[in-house]
Amino acid sequence: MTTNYTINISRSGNTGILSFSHGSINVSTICWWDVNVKIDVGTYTGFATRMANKNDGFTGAKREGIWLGINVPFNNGTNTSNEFFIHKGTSPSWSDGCIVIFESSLIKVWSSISPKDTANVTINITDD
Amino acid sequence: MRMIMHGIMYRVMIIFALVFITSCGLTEVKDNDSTEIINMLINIPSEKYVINGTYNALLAYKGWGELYNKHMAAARDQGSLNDVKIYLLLGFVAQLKAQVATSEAFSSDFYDIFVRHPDVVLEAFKQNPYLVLSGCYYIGNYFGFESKNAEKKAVFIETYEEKIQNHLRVGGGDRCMAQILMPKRPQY
Repeated sequence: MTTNYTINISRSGNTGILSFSHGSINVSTICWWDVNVKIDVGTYTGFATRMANKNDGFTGAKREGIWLGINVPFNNGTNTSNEFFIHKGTSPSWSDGCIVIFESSLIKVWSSISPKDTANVTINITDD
Repeated sequence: MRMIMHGIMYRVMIIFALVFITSCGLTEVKDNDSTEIINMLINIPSEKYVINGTYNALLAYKGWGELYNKHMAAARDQGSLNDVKIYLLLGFVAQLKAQVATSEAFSSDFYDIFVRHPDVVLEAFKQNPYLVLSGCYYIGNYFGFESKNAEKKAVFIETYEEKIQNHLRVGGGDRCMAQILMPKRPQY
């Protein structure tokens, strides 16, 4: 029996609230993205994994992230990307399109998800 | 229709570029890498990521990341003209294919490669003007990316603007400097 996890991202203007709950772990935190690359509202299947080319993970390994899968539409369906992640960051300046949250929050979410590299995360993105 | 034609033209240019780089001797695009780059450009799933009959897209992303890491290290540490050309080609592909995570890596990594090998990078730009916009975008985006390095921008411009203008063909220097001063994601 595989556990499924849910991440909700509710956006308003140029910021949003990312929320996640599993067991005793509850996260509700501000999130940002590059305002020129906005993922379309929708539901996506995510994977907790590590980013391939960032070496600044919490314990020195590659950076932790939640991958949103392939063909994710953005900017009102005008393009798609296979490389959207939720990863650490403290402002939109950390993003060329990914959604970023504080590292402490990201690690709580990422560490809760097991197994890794598995399509076991439902990511709901909504706009207020 | 015009945008589609532009997209096709860019893809044809890249395939010619791959053939050109491969024919240059020394460092070249290895067969496996060039296959993967072309497959990426035209959305053909690489067979190497088909496991038990199913394409593994996460594995494909990680494989592309390893390709990036290999060529970034070669451009940074060896810095031959062809090493830099291949790396810049990957940066162009990242913009063309909206590889946002790879673009973020370029925004962190390319500045250091430019500073280590400015003449090589500018020669690569000079020989491949279509790489200027994406490459200079990454340099411009470096300043302030991840809330770091904004203070280096003025010194970089003071140090390199004349060299950039002198190396690149008419218009190329201005296009590069415009991206460095105010980076704007290239549209293809």
